[in-house]
Amino acid sequence: MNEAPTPAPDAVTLERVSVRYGRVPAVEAVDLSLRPGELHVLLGESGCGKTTLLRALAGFEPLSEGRMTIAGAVVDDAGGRARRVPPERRNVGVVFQDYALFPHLSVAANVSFGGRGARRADVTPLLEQLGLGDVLDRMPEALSGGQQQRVALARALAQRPALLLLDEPFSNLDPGRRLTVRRLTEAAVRDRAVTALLVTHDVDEALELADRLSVMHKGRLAQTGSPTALYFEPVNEQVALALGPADFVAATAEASGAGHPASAVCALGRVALRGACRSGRLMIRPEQLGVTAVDGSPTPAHVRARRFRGAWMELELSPLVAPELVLTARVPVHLDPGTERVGLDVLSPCALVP
Amino acid sequence: MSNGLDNLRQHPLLHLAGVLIALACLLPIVWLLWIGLGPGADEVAAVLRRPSTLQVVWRSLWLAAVVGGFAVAVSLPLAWLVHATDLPGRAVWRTLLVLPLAIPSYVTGFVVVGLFDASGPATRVLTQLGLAGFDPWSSGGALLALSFLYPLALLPAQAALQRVGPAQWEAARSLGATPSRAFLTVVLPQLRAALAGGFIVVALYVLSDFGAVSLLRVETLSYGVYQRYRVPTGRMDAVGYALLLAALAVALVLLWQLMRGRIHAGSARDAVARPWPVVPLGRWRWPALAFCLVLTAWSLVLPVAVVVFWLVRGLRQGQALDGVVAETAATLVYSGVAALLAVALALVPALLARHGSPRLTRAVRMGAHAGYALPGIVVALALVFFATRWAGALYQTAAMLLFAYLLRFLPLAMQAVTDGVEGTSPRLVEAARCAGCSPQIAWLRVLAPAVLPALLAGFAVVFLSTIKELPATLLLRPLGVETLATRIWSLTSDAWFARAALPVLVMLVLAVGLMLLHPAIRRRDP
Repeated sequence: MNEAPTPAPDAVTLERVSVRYGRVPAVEAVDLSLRPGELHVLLGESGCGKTTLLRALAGFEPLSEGRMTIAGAVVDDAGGRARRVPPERRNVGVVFQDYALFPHLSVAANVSFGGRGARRADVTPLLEQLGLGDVLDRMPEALSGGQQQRVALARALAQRPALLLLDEPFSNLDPGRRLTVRRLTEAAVRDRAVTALLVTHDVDEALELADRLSVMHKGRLAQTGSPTALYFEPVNEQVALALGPADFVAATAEASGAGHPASAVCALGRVALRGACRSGRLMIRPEQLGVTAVDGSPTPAHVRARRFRGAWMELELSPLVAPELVLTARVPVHLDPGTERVGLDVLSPCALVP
Repeated sequence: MSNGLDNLRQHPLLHLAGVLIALACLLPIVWLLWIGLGPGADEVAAVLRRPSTLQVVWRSLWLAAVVGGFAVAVSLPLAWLVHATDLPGRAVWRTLLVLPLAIPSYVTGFVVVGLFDASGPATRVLTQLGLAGFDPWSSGGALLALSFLYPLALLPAQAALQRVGPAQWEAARSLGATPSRAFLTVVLPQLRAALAGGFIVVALYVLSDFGAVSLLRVETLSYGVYQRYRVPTGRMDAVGYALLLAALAVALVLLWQLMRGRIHAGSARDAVARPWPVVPLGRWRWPALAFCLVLTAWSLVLPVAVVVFWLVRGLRQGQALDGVVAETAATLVYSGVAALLAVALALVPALLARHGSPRLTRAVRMGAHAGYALPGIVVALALVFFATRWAGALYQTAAMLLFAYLLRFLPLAMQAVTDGVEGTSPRLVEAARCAGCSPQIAWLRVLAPAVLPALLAGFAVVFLSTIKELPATLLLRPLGVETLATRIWSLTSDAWFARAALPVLVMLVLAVGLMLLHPAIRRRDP
């Protein structure tokens, strides 16, 4: 993480933002700020309110409470003094989940609509970069799904938006195409240093793309931070599991002297700690566990199940000292001794989760 | 895959039925063409060359164009208001504004003459204001009576708006378009094909209309057919007019088919129909509401008011409440039988499609639709001539009348039944077969319950149409039989408005009531 030496003013701020439909809350008291040029990912399961939050930023849902600014200007303060800015005056580009291309307009006309009627020459470099140079005169229905997605992106970028919103932009693509389009999208967004908020339920996508990541759960933001921070030091079990499988083991933190790294004691012995939290249960990701031959290992474990997953072997293990505890390990296939009992190792520092 | 010959061997009766239906549906048009191009060619050619014929054609097209234009002009704002804006009570408006479609044109004709006749309520008001009365027996009167057709343009406009979907509206707004620019550049261009389609459908209905133009004595092609048919020496004139009318109708249908391809082009994308974001009307809220109110007052409240006016006046003058029980019974019986037969026959092409005879299926459907495209008066005239020349025993029998109803409305049943049968997966029957059912049992226990709603829908739509049918009933009904439609028509023609009021009321209740039960109307959006 390269932190800027002097923090620039935030590109987007949300202060205690709530959106309710009647009395049903969709978004509750969300605080969030986006730094200029960052690609921020909002991760959550469907129905958690992430799309509602995006629509509120675009100006399609009025806030019930709170305040929202884009590029320093208040766009909505929930019926307060500032007038709500209509979508067309926010300069926010949106890539819709179903793309919402105008079916009666050619690719070029769709994209220059985004450029507020920009001339074709102005949008050509953008289209070239996105590999759309030779479909300019086609109609949207004649394009593949991946091409449609890129046209939608080009249209949103052509208006040089102060904020780019991407609503599950890759979810309608088949898995083979998804990775290429994702890389292409990321390059186009980063080249222009545009502040972007991407909403997704795909963990892979979120971890790979995000400068910073927010996990949303039942209308509230659970945690915001760098992908590594959220992955290894989640603030609660929900965030931990939202980013991937994990096991939780009761542990006691040890007081650390000066110069000694912090550690905790649990059924797996002494484990090095990371993060600031000093109480709770130890969170262990499957790939943080290693196995060895059982002879001479301080923590022998019983193998309850063994599943071949191609790139790795998945083992379900119970330490002999705590047979009720079940842990999952993912190890490279050639490192699995293949025996009924194995030795268990924690390979990297783990965090305590309250 | 099995080939056609195997299917024929397996289902010989089904195939025979299919061939017979296709041939029967083509009977009227083939018969007319044969007369017009064969034995009567010279006389028909003379009719077509007459200058007065050109005038009648011109009047028909003019009326069709003006009513079509009115319908489109009204439908565009209405569709937008009830679909995309925060118009108060828009779900209710969505139902109310479509209801005038249920009112048959001879009832709207009754409303117009009932209002503007010398003794009508509107004439009285106009006279008291010192204004000249309005002559309802004119093209202007026909325009008023046919203005009730506007929902035919409103429905496709609404459907198109639904297909455009809110996502594109939002995309345009986020790209910097004001509401009016988003409407003009993104929404309107995509409604154009649907609006043109609506215009054509309305024009086709106006061209085919018999009820209103005959009551208002406006000589269009379809009323002209009837007038000439009534004159013993004018029968070949009638054939000439009918052929002209049929040609125009078929041309419009073909045009509409072309449009339909464009209407649906590129619309499959927005699979999830989301409700529109509500566009605030602001200070336009009340004018918009007034617009809807005026239209509803004209097209729903006024007909009822005119009927009640004449009913009350009739009662005051000691008019007997007659002419309704026998007529209603006859109407319901004929319509019920016709609808049952239509559903049964509609199963034939649906099953043919299922059992893999695509060519014959297509032939049956095209034949049936050819019958449907023909104006009612043309079908009726062809059958009268056919029966008097070749099947005298059938002329003015119940069988002939039912045959005419089937010719006119079989495609309606076919549409509903085919949708239902095609909506069920062939896997359904296969699953039942695997579970040990014979084909017949599988049909009975699995497919029949699954398609029953479609059969009921097919029944309902044919029933409703037959209740309202006028021209074929007028020409082909057995001696002594009167239906509500013929009673209303003849009483109104003879200016017995007070006596016509009760049958009209019964017709309104039946037609609007059935329409309200219709699933397409009942369905509201989420």
